[in-house]
Amino acid sequence: MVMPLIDFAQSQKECYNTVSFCSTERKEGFTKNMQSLSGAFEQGDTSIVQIIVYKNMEYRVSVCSPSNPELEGKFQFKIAEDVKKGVWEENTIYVDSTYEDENFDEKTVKVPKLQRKRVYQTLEEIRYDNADYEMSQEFVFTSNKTRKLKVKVYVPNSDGEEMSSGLSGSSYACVGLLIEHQPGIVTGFNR
Amino acid sequence: MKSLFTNLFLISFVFGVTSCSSSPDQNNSPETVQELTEELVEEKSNDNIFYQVPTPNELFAVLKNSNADFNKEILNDVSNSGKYLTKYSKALNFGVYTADLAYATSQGSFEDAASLFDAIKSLSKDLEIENAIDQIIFKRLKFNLENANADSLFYLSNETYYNAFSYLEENGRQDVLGMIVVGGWIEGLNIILNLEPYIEDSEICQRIADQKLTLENLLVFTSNVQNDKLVDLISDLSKIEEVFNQELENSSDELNDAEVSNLTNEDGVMVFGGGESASLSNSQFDQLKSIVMDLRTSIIEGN
Repeated sequence: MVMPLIDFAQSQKECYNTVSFCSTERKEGFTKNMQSLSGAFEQGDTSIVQIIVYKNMEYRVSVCSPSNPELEGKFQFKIAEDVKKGVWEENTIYVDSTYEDENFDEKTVKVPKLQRKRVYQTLEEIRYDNADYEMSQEFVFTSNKTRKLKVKVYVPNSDGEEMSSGLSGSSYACVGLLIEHQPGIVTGFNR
Repeated sequence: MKSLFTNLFLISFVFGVTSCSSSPDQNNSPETVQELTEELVEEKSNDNIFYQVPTPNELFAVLKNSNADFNKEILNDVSNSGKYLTKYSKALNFGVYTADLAYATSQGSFEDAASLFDAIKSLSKDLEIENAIDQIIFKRLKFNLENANADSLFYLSNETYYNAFSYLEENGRQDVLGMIVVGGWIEGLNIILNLEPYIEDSEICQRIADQKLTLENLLVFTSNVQNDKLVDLISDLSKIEEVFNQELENSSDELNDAEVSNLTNEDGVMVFGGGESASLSNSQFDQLKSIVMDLRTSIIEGN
């Protein structure tokens, strides 16, 4: 993707701290998490925010764009995790095999052998997709262990309409990915 | 935009070779002769990836549940705050003190919290970020200190860090931001390494092992910072990374399949499950403790 850098830099500055303008339903105990992100996001583009979530902590993720109300409620976001998975790959190879024929002469021939190879690949597993939950713009979750997760935010096009306000480069929208946390219910330290 | 990664690592292990043969006519069907294990890790490049680092507050919020006693001795003495003369040492130690503050407030240590707030206020002035930590926050801090409100203090210590972070980001002061985050991360790790002796699979040891993930993000987060001293310090973090990575070399569990699953708890909250928890050996613990202590000593001495 090629971007006009000056335009982008200007837009980034204008979008500073968008998350602080996200109105969230106050829920007792949640604290702003520094892994939140504000920025100029190009419409139609997907941005990925890689975060660390701790075991025994509850997280709330929400997306907002106060400067572009026409986008509100339309953000798609997914939470994904890279997971190592193994699959068996089978190949037939040919190896030398020695035997004695009826005259007791030693002979060598090529015989087929099956080679099984366990291949581990890092695959992306989608843990949550708000498209499966009526495009809910907020999601609360917890984890049974500390994980590295990717929050993928898709900024929709506003149907060819001019952006309603804000940015000097009109193809960008100020978007806030607000992450909050609070200690979760402790159910023991079992691994 | 953060940096790009395009790596392909290939690790192969030959697990065993079995071979048997007789006459060729007995070899019509293929048979297993070899089992290999191969790991493929591919990190795709993407311009729009942002790598984030949790605050020390988040770490200590989790540790509130561990029963480790508060250890005042591991805090950086607030009397040191006046001896930091360079932007580099001031910013690193701003990070150190905010981590100490998070720890002290998480444990309800009001006396230490009060003096740590003063040290942070003083350094914030020197770093020209005092506007980020406005008077309202300090008034609220004072009120909650006087009223011994531990939860509010812990919340406000997070606000302090968050506001400083946002202010620096807004003003494009990535170098100072990087120094604060690195200082805070090292101090946070030093604190949890000194909470208790090594106990296999303890809550504390798990949290220490978890810092491998945080370090990976921290290294990318700071990769664009243009400051020679910080670049040197970050390269020293590679020693910590090497110790964390020993786990990968020594553990066969690493290649186990990680089945993932989502559950819903009694409060209706989705729980991401599955996968192996990180672990730490006694040797890794000792090595980390020594490396982190050296780095941290160099920071608090203002070198």
